[in-house]
Parts: sequence; C-alpha cells; structure tokens
Amino acid sequence: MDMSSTDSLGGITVVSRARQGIDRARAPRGLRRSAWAIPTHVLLIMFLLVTVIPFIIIVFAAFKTKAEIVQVGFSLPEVWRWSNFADAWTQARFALYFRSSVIVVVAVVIGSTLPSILSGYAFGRTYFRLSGVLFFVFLLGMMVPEEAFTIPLYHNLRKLGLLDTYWALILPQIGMSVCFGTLWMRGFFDEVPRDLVDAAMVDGCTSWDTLRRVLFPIARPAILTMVVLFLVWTWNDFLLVLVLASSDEVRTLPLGLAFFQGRYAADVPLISAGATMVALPTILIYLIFQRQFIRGITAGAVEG
Amino acid sequence: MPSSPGPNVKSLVRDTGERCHSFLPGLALCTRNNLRNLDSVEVFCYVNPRCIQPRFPFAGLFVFYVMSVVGGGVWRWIYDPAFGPLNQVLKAVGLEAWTRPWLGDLQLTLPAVGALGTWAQHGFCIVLFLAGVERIEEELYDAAKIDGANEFRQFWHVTLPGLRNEISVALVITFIAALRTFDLVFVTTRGGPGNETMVVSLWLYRNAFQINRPDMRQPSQWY
Repeated sequence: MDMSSTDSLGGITVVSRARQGIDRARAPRGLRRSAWAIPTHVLLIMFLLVTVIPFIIIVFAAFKTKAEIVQVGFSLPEVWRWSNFADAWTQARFALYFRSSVIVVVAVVIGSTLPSILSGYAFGRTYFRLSGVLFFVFLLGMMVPEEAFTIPLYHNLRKLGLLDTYWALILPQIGMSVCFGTLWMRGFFDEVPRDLVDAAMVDGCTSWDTLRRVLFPIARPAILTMVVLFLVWTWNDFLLVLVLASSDEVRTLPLGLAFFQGRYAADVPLISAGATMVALPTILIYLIFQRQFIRGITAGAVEG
Repeated sequence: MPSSPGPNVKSLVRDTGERCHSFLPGLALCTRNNLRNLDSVEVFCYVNPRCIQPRFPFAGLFVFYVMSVVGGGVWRWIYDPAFGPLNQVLKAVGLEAWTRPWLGDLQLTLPAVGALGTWAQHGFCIVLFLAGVERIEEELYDAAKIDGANEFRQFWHVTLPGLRNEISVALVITFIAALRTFDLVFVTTRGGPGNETMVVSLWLYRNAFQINRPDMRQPSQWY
C-alpha cells in the first residue's frame, strides 16, 4: 500500500504522525532531553581529566625551573624553558638510545612482516599434514609470557656470544612478533571469500601470484595494523632489552629513560622533559594510526 | 648442562614459601587492577550509548597502556610525598590529613601501584567497550524502552549482556597484563619498600640476575 497516498487528509495526518513517531524512536540518541545529560557529561569529563592530567602535569613541569616545581603542579610555567629539553637530550644521551631503538624496531618490523604474511597465508589457505601441530607451536609462542623464557634466552644467547649486540634484541622480538603476526594474518586470510581465490586460480595464478596480486592488496589494512602493532610493541619493550643488553650502545629508549629517571631523580624538570620527549613518537604514531589500533583491539573481541 | 636434580629440588621447595610470598603481591596487584578497571569502565559504558562521541580522543587514551616506563616515571613524581601534585592538591583542598608517602608506605604502596596500572589500562578498556557498545542493536534499546525500562535498567539488561564478549576479553587481558607487570614496578618502586611490591616477574629478575643464584637458571615459576 502506498504510504504516501493522498486519499484523505486524515490519512496523511495519521501516516505522517506515525512516521514521525518511528523516526523519533530511531533518531540517534542524543542526550539533550535526557535527565542524565549533565551527570553523564560530568563523568566523561572526569575520566578524560583523570587520564590526561598526569600528562599535562609532566609537560608543564618540563618547562619549569626547579624552584617552580615546588609550587602547585598545575600552574603554567612562568618562563617556557626550552633549554630543559636540550639538557635532557644531551645528559640522558637520548640520541644514542633513539638510534638503537630505531635500528631494532626497523629490523624487527621488516624481519617479521614478510614471514607473518607468508605463514598466515600457508595456515589460512592451504592445508598440509603438519599444519595443526605447527599452528599449535605458534600458539604456544604467544601464550608463553616473556618473563618465562627470558632467563633461558639469556643463557642461550650468552653461549652463542650474541649478548649485548643488536641481534640479541632483534631475533627474539622477531620470534615473538611472528607468532602474533601468523595468527593475525591467518585469521584474516581465513575470512577471504573462496570465490576470489578460485577466480584467481581459474585465471591461471599460482599460489604465489594469488598472494601477491589478489590477496595482498585486500590485506593491506590488516597488514598495516599488524605493522603498527609490531612497531609499538618493539619500541616499548622493556624486560627483554633490560636483560639482554648491558651496554649503553645497544640499549633502547625505554631503558634510557628509566635509567635517566633513576640517576636524576631529584631534577624533576629534566626528567619531565626526558619523559615528554620519549613519549612524543609513540603519541604521534597513535594519533596517525588510531584506526589501526582500534581495529587491533576490537578484532579479537569480535571472534569471541 | 643443568645441575643435578637434588639441590635444585631442595632449593625449589625451600623457595616455595618465599615464592608464595612474592606471588601474593602480584596476585593482589592484578586483582586490584581488575576490579578498579572494570568498575570504572562499567560506569563509562553505561554513559556511552547515551552520547554521540567521536572516537578520536579515546584512541589517545590507549597510549598509556603500553608506555609503561613513561607512565611509571610520571606517577612516581605525582606520588612524591613532598612536592608531588597529588599531595599538593590534597593540601590545597584542605585534606592535609590524607597526604601520605604513597610509594613509601608499606600498606599503601601496593594499591598505589595498582592504581597506576589501572590508569594505564583505562584507555584500552574504554576503546574495547566503545566498539562493543556500538555493535549492540538499537532495536534492543527500543524494545526495552517500550517495555518501560528507564536508563539504568536499559544499561543493566541490554548494554551489559550485549558486552559479554568484550568484558571477558577485557578481564582476561587486564588480568594477564597485571600478572606480567614489570616495567611499572621496576620504574616506580623496584620491588617497593621492603618486599611489598615484589611482583613475580621482578622477583624472578632479581633472583636470576642481580643475586645471580645458579639454581634459578630454569624458569621454575608458575603463573
């Protein structure tokens, strides 16, 4: 029946009123008319403040002098002393740690992305006799916590003579990343519709061609998410680097910051400047790649 | 080659008592972490379906989840008994009686580090629940409204059950993360006044490397 028919005036009124009622029920639930509007917004603002205020305090503290710190933490600095940052950079030797971090992270990301894609494709789209067992091995690699294998790893690497080199940091982290990457890419390749792959096969693609030409372009968002996760986990890794690297040349940024904080604990503006500088790359990456991070967090929940 | 099983087993048994004692802070820490996390985030996801919020700011909250070293340093300064902002704010508000040496007090240091862990994991839980709430169908809320449910009951009967998956994921991940904390505790208290915040990973690190006990070469820990 044509709902917009203009039989009678009464008919239109009834229909349009009904439609208005439905629309109102379906409208995005804004808070304007709800009695809970104000407490809700207050609560949300409180959450935002609680999470962000420590950081604001530190950023302000980074610009102050030592004497100003004694005053209330929230006050804006009187003079914006950028020299704190320069001092922190040189005294904490951040250039050295930054270089180590970049080397390790680039190597780990490059070294784990390709194997993850390849093994994810193998587990996801092909079947071979040992696939169950091998997949369980990868799963184990994810389940066993870092703390459990750090000590044997230390002794193994010491016997190999690789301690205190970049390899000691890169290789274990590639191992850990590939475990997660395989699971991640396998999950993705599982969901690719069979018809697509079959069409590619009919067009004469080999497995390799299918991966390179058909699946890889589709998989780009998933691969980007994986790369970003690798990047951030490797950048922030603390325990492994603490245990396996004992000389300053090989240590990465989180350790540099931790030891700097320990050494200059009394000089709050200096360590605040250091903390701000170390946090900045991570924050930038989060801001640029937010969608990837959210996808990374929520994908797991969807399966469950 | 591993040493003979005899002395190993003996020292293991002897250590069990010590390890129990060290496991408890870890367990207590993660329990506190979890309870606080879920409390605060449940409230958040209560308010969430009522608001149209862009996702942008909340993605930023996730940052602190992984920046343990920076977060630890920040909070060590905040908890500073003499000049830290926390005590300063309490004094300014007039609650000077509540000021404490947060990280030095034997009773308070574990909750303090627990609160720090909670703060760090906030963003992660929020993002998780945010995405989860958006996935709940509107028809359920409409049906609840027709049945006469007020906002609180809608939250209790529609939002919470709809978020079951996300809640279980959040529980598991925060629990595991709390059991595994190393960076936070290392940067703030290094084991705490006495052995108060000696979580398992820190205990392991100290025994294996700093005291250099040879019988600690095997990862003889139980998670």
